[in-house]
Amino acid sequence: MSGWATYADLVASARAQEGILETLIHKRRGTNDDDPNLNSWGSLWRLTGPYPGPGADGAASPGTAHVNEGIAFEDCDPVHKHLVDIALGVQYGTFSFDTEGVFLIYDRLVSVNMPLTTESAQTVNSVALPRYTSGEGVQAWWEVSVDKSIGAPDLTLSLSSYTNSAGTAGRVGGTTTYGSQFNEGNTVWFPLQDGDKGIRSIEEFTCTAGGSPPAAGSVNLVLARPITFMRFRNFGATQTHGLLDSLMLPRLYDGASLGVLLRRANTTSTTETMRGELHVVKDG
Amino acid sequence: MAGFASYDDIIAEITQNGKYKAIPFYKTSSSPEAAGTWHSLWKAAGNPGAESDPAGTPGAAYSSAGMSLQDEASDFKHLLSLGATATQNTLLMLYDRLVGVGAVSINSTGDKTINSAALTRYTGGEGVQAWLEVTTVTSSTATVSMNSYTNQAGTTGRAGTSVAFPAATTNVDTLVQLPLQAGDKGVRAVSTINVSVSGGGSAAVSLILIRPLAFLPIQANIYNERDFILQVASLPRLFDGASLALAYLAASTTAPTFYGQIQTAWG
Repeated sequence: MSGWATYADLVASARAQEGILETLIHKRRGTNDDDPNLNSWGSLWRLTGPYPGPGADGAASPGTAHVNEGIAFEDCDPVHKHLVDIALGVQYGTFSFDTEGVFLIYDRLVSVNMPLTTESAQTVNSVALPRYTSGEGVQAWWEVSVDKSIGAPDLTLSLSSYTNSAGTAGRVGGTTTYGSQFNEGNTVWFPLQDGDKGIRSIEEFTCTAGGSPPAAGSVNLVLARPITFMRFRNFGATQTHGLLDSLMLPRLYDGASLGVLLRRANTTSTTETMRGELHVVKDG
Repeated sequence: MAGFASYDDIIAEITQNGKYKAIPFYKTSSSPEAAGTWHSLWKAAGNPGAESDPAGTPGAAYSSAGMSLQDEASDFKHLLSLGATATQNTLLMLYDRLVGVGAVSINSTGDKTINSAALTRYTGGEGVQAWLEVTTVTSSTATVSMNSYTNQAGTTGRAGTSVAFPAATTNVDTLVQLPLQAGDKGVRAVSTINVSVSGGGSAAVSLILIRPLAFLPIQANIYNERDFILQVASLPRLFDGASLALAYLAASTTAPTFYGQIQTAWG
């Protein structure tokens, strides 16, 4: 049987040879690499490694279902995997005691690369979710792949047709704004139609630019399931977020493709290095 | 027997039986009225999507609305954690939304009929709070009281003290808590509210009955989390039909956005 009967059982699994899986995270942002603004979500997906190496943009419509990409662990069905610990920190090119922010560890399910150069509704018809297949709790966001490289106009981006977690097609989400200050890697979450509890697939995406679409630019439309959030602070000091004692033991499904979003609260920098590790315990 | 027998039992239920569910949320608020005022995220855009105003009197008892879990015939469901970050300093409240009565006009003085639907959870009313949720902006500073309600002991005709709205033009989604009569510890039902000073214009509110479950202080753009197993060993129970929702205490007039999740287990 998968799972643990007791805390001692869980600890025994963690101590057993090959019972605990560890993966390192080491990402570096250089000058002019994907550089999200302060108090905005920024994706580490495409940043240089060493580990994991830079993730690829999603394919064009219908996109890519992500399986064992990014931060990934071995498949072990019928045994289950649970995330038990994260240690992660940020080191800046300029030493600062004042650095604070938030990491979000998420399972990247589907991404679709869409151009911003067409001011109309564009067909997406995204591939099926490989995990969390109903879509309940699945979030949708856009992640700048190629910056539009001009200031005005701001772009308005929306999911003009999607299927919600109840399987209802033709749902229409709210709008978001791609402002002049955005950079590659900036990430903005899509609001859903009233009453929806998640998203299963995207059928259509709309970019409006007031009649003047940019000559360049693209975004990845991402469907993702948040796994856990954690706080970070201070000049590269690694923060730990233990999930075991508090029994927040999120399960990582086979094929999970973990990514990291970062939200810096109060510093700017030209270079950043993210280092850390994730620990996962197999329950059988 | 329903309920967790031990710390080990929680582990077994989560990992052996899969009795665990996380509900992530992302919500963009409308503009709060002022620092120190409460603001509702019930109709805030995001994921889950916005909810709607309740029907007029007698309104409705909420069941599995907002952030919700499946019913469990033979298990008890419990909140394991609440965690969030926000773009402004704030205090976040997670609550179970029990009853809503919408379309209550407060643009004239006098008694307003509520006759709220019966509670379907926390049916005794102990710890249940009555709030007004602004649905149409006011144009003058309203003053309102619950002048006839049933308390948690089942005593009818109770009358609370009055409360003034925070501003002449109180924003939509602002929450105003209604005080109880001295000695009362909760609300089972509301018959009427009294408007002693009109909100003017087309001012309107919904009356909601809620049961707070957890509070979370948040420093802007920093993640905070409450664990209800070891940190605050309370494991709040989530009853079948629970309709979980969020509200916050504003620290400024700037509209915040929230990102976070709740984690639950049952057994």
